[in-house]
Amino acid sequence: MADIEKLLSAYKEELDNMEIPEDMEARMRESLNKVPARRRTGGLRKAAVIVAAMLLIGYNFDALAYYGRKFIGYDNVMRGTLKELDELGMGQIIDKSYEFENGVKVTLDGIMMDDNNLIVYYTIYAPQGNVEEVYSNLRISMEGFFGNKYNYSGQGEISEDGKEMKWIVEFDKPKLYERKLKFNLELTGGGMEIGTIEFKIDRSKAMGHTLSIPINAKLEIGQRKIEIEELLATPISTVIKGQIQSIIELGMDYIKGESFKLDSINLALIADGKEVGTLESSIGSSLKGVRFEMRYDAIPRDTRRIDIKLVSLSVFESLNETFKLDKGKENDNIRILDREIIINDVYESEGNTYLEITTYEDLVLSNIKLIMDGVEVEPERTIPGEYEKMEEVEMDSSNNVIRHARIKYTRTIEFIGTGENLELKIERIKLNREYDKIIYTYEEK
Amino acid sequence: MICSLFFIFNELFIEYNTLIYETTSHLERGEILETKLLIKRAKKGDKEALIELVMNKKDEYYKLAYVYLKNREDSLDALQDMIVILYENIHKLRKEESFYSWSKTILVNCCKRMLKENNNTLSFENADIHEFNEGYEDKDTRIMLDMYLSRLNPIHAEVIRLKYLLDLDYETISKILEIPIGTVKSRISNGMKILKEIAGGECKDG
Repeated sequence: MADIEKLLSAYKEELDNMEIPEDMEARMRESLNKVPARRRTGGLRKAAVIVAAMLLIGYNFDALAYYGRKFIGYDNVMRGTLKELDELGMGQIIDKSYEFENGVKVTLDGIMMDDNNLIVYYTIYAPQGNVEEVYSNLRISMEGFFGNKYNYSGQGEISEDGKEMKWIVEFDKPKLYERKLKFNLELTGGGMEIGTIEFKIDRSKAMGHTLSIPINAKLEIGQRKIEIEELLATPISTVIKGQIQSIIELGMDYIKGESFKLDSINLALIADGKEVGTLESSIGSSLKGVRFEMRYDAIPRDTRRIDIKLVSLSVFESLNETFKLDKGKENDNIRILDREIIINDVYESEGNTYLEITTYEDLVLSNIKLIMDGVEVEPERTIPGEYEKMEEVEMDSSNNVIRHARIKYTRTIEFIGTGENLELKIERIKLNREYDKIIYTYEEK
Repeated sequence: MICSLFFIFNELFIEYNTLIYETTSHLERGEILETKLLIKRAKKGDKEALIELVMNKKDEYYKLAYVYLKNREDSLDALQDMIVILYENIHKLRKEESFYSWSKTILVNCCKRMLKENNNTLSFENADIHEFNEGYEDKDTRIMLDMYLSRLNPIHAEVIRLKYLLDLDYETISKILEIPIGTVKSRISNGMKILKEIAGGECKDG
């Protein structure tokens, strides 16, 4: 009789030894790149609010004003209601609905627009009290002339009885020639129904911007050139645009985008000494370099001084350096760029080779190979080890002691097979560099 | 009433801020935090963060697809389908700690849909059983096992694959397939019983 358990475990072993296709990551990225970018935070649910019922009964535009105000951090201008703001030319009430066959109704209450955003206030009403389910089946989009689609992000709130959900969604600013927009609704779950609410943009009611500073500040940090191009402050939000280029690695390699890839940039926006809250950031690469766009809350209206601080930069760097390794614990540490990789141990076990290393945890060896007797072997897996907290003490220029808490991370990398002559080939690493440096200052005269 | 509303949204606003703070804080360390951070970034539409989340457990994802689809190309296709669905829906994920089971449920559904579309279920009805009894070469092991499993009720075969080939525990299987733990256990035990009967039968006949 065939031993099923034996067969299963033989098959399992086969699966365990199976190679994960190298192009898995690339294939997934390829698919994702075809999907239009959407920025959207999840619907945050804060229930258990007794007054939710009152929200339903007393729903009016007074409510919306607070709704908007608390979200946008717009206290100085939005003292009144949205209706009042509308009269002041600050917002635009739409109040148009679409009702689906199953009784679900979506109402576009109003919009606000400035030079950075189009903010849309809408309500989903589900008479059956299942708005939570309805909203997850509802896809929205904003369509302009020629079928332009706009990216968005937003937050929603569900009423306690589960019948109503209010959303504030920020779309990218509509193109200048847009006069009419279509707010498209697609409800799935038991068939699909498409609805549209069309509305006109009243540009005379757009808020414009309060401050537009062409910055064009360029600075070189290591091998990077960072250019902060523009800061655009509106009553609703602040946007900083810029780009990063590599100085050295130009040419084909660079164009292929493999040698330098920005993972993230962390810029702090400081208004009169106070850090402004971050909203989101986006990064896109092109032949010219990597472009970034950082969004922050609105700068307070009476701000006199603005500082932009480069906090940190996380990048992939190509190296293609090879280091000789000896078996045992006697290897020298490897220095790449200005980082150290501590080689704790190189050993063989059950026909495989293991490399135990320690680095600061902000360094990731993203592409490495072990060359065993001339044959390049990719890592099979990484076995996580210990994290150790270190405190580094530094003196700054005025002899103040600065303490940095840094984490060291030890892990073991497994390579299939063994060899006599071992070399570690480091092709690409990812590292996070902290700068904490003011790179631009604007002061109102 | 307005005051009360103020309260609601104020509370909401604080949570939103906390969320933003977490995504930008440099103080967060460690792998779990790293995952949490990536999930938050992915929820905000960061494609690379989503890819990183999946690639951090690439073995688990790839093998999960593979036990359903049994070949490289289809498995990669399913992963491609999955990542798009994840991207479009991650903002709806409320319990961030369940990212991995949630995404694997989606992967399993992608695999099942592909199987249905391609009618790709391996059929061994015409295979010559004697050929496979000669040795336990890797491929033979797989073919034999697939043959036995293909004769089981698919719902039994599925849990057996997940339990024995991927070494998943009952709870994980229950989460991925979205069925109660009790059902997982009974399907495995019934399935194994039938599987042993099938295998025993083949051998006697052979």
